[in-house]
Amino acid sequence: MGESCLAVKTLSKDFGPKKALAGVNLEVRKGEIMGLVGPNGAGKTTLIKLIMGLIKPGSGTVSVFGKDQRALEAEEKRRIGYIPDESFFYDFMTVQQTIEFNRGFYPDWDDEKCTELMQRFHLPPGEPVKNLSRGMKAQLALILILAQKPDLLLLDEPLEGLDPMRRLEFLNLVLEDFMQWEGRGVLFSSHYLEELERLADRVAFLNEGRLLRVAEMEQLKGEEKTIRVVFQKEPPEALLKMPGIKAVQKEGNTGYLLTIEDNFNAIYEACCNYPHFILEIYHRSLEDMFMDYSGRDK
Amino acid sequence: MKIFVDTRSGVPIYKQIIQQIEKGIMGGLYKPGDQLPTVREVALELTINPNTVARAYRELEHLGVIESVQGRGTFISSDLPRPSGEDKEMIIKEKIEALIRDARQLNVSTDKLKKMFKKALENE
Repeated sequence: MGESCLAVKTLSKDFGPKKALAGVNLEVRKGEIMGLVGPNGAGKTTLIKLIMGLIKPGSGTVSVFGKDQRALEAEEKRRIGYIPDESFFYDFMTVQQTIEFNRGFYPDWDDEKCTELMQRFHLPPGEPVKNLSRGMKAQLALILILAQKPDLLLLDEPLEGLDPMRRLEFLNLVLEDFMQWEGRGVLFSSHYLEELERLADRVAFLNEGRLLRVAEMEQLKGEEKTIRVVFQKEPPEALLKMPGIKAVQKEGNTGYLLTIEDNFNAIYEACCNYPHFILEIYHRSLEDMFMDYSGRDK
Repeated sequence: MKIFVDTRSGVPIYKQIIQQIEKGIMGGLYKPGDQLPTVREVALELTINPNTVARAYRELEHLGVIESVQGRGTFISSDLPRPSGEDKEMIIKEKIEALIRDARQLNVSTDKLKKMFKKALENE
């Protein structure tokens, strides 16, 4: 782990006067799942298409498995599994025909896995793809990608339109395979932040073509919180001066708003142990941070 | 051994796992020698990143709460770190002090408090 699976450097792309991407740097390590979030039009799909080499960058570079994307051999390209944001199926084909069709491109195709997953998800082989539900189409797409045994997975909004049950099924399949296939890197864009939180080691916030922040999920979650506490009487000075308290704001007589940036558990315990009428924690969720980075305040 | 995660909680998932296992031990739910599910099982059961589960297990192992046995799995430690006599006294002292503060706040007299405490001990 730690080695780079995908590295994007100062990547920019304009569509006419519109800056779709502006100087994006992003790395996905081996054995890591990177979540990509941002409002519609932030540049997520453009970024993924550039990584796939489907569109040409204005400037900057993409390297996959330590090699420039443009110099990848066909064999190396086959090690990238990509689910685009739009259906890539031919509607007139049946499920079985779709599998045969895709299989033809991949010499390393994993027949056993493909068959096992098809049965597990009860995908009807003889059914034309156009008759499948959204959930089934998403499952079929993932099965096709996993059967090609990729070392890098690029998933562009794969959960879109799936019910909660199907979303978890989909994620479990990604996870199961991720655990079997040591050293795989995953880049995963989604608006489903709760699901993303379960899945991602790190998360990248993209807005208006700029990468605003990349952070460890656990670190993000552990960061700032606010405690509202109304004590029964004035608390000891030392409590309000505990390390990790960034700001103290007084409310009424014996009420306080404590902004915590670190050492949360000890501070919370200390408040718990002192007689109080109210003790509440206000978390900043991934949604809150998403809103901040999407420029809610503008 | 059933573990829950709450993504709406501000507590990072790996910490939720650590806290639940520690509490389960303190409350007598888990006993030394009990086997923990594998990282893989927890990850798929909860649909969470296996690295997150592995991190929780690593920290628990570091704390001496769990131990992994090559080829057999992960278990609640047979030799759990026990609070020293001094630590125990501190924990109880803090709770008694908190109790007294609450009693004062609610205007419960010292006499009444003594009686209540005595009665609670007798009824134990």
